[in-house]
Amino acid sequence: MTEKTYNNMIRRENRGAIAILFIDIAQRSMNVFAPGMIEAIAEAANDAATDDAVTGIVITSGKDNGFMAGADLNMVEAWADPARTAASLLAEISKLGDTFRSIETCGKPVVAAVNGLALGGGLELALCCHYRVVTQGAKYGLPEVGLGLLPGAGGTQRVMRLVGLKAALPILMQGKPMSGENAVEIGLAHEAVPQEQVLDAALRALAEGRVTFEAAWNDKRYQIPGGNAYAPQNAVALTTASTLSHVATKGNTTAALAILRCLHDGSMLPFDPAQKMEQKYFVQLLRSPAALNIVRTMFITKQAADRLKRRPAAPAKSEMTRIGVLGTGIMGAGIAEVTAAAGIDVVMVDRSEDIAKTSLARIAAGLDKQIARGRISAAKRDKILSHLRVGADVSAFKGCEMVIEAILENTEVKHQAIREVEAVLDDGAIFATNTSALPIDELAKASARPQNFIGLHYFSPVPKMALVEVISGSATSAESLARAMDYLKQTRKTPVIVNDGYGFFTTRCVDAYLREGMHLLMDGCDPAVIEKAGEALGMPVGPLCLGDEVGNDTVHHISHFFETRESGEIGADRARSHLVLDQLAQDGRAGRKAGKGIYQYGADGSKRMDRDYLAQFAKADAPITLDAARERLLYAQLVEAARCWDDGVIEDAAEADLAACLGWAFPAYLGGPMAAIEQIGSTEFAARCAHLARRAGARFTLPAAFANASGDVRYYGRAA
Amino acid sequence: MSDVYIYDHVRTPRGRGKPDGGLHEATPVHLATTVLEAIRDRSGLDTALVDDIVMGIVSPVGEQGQVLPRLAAINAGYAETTAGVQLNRFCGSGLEAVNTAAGKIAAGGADFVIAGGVESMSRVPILSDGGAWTTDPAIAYASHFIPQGVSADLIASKYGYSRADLDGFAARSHARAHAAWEAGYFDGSIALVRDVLGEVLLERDENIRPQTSVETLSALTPSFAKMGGAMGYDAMGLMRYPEVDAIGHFHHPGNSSAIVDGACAMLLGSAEAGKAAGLKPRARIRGFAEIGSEPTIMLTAPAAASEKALRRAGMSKSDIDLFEINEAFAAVALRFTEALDLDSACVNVNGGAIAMGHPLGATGAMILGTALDELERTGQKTALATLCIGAGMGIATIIERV
Repeated sequence: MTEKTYNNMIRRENRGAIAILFIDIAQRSMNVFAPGMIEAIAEAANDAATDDAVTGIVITSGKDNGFMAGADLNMVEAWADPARTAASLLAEISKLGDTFRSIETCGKPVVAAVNGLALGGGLELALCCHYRVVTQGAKYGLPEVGLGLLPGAGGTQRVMRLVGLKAALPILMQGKPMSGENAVEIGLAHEAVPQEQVLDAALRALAEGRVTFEAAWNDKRYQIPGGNAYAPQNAVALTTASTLSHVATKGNTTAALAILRCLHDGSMLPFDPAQKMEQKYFVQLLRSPAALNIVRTMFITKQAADRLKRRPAAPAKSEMTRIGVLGTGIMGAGIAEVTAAAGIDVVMVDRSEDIAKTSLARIAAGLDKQIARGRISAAKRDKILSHLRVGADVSAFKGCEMVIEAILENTEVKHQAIREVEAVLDDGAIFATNTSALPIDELAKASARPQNFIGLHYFSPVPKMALVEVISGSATSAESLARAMDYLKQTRKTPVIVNDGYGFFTTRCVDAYLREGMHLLMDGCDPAVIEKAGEALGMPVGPLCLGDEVGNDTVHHISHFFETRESGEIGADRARSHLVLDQLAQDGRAGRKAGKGIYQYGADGSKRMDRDYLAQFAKADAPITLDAARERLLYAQLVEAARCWDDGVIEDAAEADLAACLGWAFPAYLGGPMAAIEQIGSTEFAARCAHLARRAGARFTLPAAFANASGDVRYYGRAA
Repeated sequence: MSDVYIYDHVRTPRGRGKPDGGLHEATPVHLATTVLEAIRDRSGLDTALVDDIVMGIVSPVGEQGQVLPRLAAINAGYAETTAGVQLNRFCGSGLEAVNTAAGKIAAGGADFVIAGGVESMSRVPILSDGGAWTTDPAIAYASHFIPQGVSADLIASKYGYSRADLDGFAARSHARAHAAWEAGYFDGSIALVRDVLGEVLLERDENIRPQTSVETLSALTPSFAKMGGAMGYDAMGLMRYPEVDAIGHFHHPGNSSAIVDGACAMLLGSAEAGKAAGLKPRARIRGFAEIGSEPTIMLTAPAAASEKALRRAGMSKSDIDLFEINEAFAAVALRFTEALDLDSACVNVNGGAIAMGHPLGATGAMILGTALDELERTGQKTALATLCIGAGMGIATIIERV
């Protein structure tokens, strides 16, 4: 029987002398730390602890989908507001940790009946209890590092004190969830039982007197298992973790470092000052732009895009059941695979039936490899394959609700395909093109039903890359856009809507990054410095390496196409980078697939930079530092993004930033190009661009609208 | 400021720094006591005249802790008034002890000071003292820490030294050290370490292998490849040195300094103190310097430290007859020789730490003493001793025979 409720978030029931606190946040499917939650927990726990009739407390979830996830992301975004002072943040966020500590020291045994998943702050709540019953198979973890944050409610300290410093490292530094059984095995929990038995097991532990009411670390003689940071094993583990995280982040984000410091510093302190120190590091992270940028772009914006925030309201939600894929190369096969994986029938057609069959066999082989690696089950493979079939020619597309083409990037070839395919499709069927650069309106000229024609630009490898750039032509109907987005949601892709233009948004910006590498080469920058400047910026690979991987022939093709759309000084600047691209093309140096490009590739998968070959491109011998090269590689992307905004290709800054981070791995710690420009500040940004335009080339010239803007140019909050 | 003179120096033979090494049974305080007794007894020095004993000890913990030089002075029967202090500048500690002692005397704060060092690496292993450099993540990040072996490989990669270059240098170190022992060049400065029954524990430096050649060394496996790869240190080195395409791993136990046990002592004093005690000075300290350098490549500062010491002494490198660069790794010595554009015939003429070993706290004073003996033997005038130092430092001392 419910005794009392707190903030519509917690209700208390008594079972004899045991108070059970059910966390059950109203109007949310999942328990999270939303505003008011920590106050509710504090009050409920205090009431129970001070109630003389209560001898023990159980904290559990009133929901059947889990115990508790972490903090509400909008709350985190508000915390990360640059206007907040450190002192006010510390006061606010310390409420969580301090409340948990007061539960831990309340003087009565407290058991967490963790019925289902517990992540982030949810797991930290469980950790402050004296006994934890978890759920077999459910997920437990502290994923904060992935958000640019750390578990700031005692998590780093309690994990270390329960399992030791060395064993705490992977839990905190990788942020991957573990199962309930694993949690028991490593010492984070006491029992793992099936979900429906969790509460009973918790009550039994209390009844049988197996729960103390004091944390082990409250004893003055307590020592962390395995010792402090300077115990030899821990010291070596810390050194390695420092190096690997520093190398991985290039020092651009500090969450990993802050976690390591919590462990190092905290291992030398008693619990209370250690927790206070953890709170300070948490505030320090909140006040770094990286946390705000990562949370906003990679979580808040991504979740909104996944929920189809920008989908036209009408028509009502639709589902596709049959899709055609024309062209079964790497892209087409990937699209077919993810579509089939969503339970949609797919017809694959290529120039010949044999080609399509070979492609289908390759998909099957790829799935087998995933089974061997334990990623999917054989049943899953069979289910995917059951939705895939090969058609002899385009007539097999009859009855498809949508056909996606992924054939040669050539307007004439695509025009012919559009005519042939549309001839067999129903009037309402959509024709989608997976072009990465050709304007939709130009392709739609061949379409008899341009209102049903749309661009869906996928990224390679399709099964791994979440983003799809969705491009409406001027005639594309809202209904076609809505249905295409519904299909993307069905196949678990993240759609970002951009407007029509050459190269859309992502291809233009990737091109700018790639070609800046070539400009640097011509300007005499050491090629290894160019590559490391890209990596130091936070790009996964340097620009020269990226060209080799994408294929310098593809880059050549796109850049020459872009040249036809640009004019004036910027066009002339592009022509200069063609000195490198044309030479690479002439010499058959397409990159990895050709065995040579900027690098030479060995049969054993090794590669080495071909300095002898590259020497011909350096037209100057002025040393360019890594920092200078890094700035150019960043600004090349930022200026192109600003130009895309000016051209009207993008109009929603948050989505553009998401497309950048997901599409071409623009560094998430910067939030995206639009966020980066805003954080640099318009004046500074314009001044650096003017400097670079003078020194490095006209491609750094900002659009006139930016240069003439009065006051700061803001992209966020200006969404159409 | 008064001039500072070297009156004498002694060292122990160096035993392999392992449980089967010749000096393993000797405690570090016994090693220090041995050299303090020897330097006193051979000159008949009244230890009441010695103000202080400054010794380098890189791992001053356990049996090397608690201000070992003072304890060794008591154990050696020095006058009660002789103080003692240990200091740590990593591999430069032994030479730092000399420079510190010289500074005390030059400033008029002391008449006689014994400088030197001790390290029993077989008993107190390297890194026994822990420390923030590698373990505190804030400092590991700030210093872009990589292990010294990877730094040495980075030097070789950056400056283009091949495995054969490094192994060739190592083989020459063994050949020169062996020849010097055979010719008796070291005999005058050796203090033998004895056991409780008075038996000599070790006659000579134990690590020298005269048969060492590029061919015999070629069989050795590089020591730092695994560290460089899986533990991320190559990537860290390349972050700092982006112009280097890749770090090749060339260093191995045969072309790196050997881990050994040993101690040394050097008597320094003012001209007046020497005259009053009836001692004849052997050399004058002309100048010294310490310097910091980029900590990731870490081991390239000897050139800058040497140039700084030369500048302070009002000398140029052409004024120096002999150079002693500590052979921490072969690449360090090759880089030093190349950076100063020296003739290798005047560098480490009697071998170095690759052959004879590097007892961390003592080496700096040992190689300065070796240079002094060689100046006297050949009739040359000036020598410069220098060492690379952890966390990116260098130290150098210049002496002139009188």
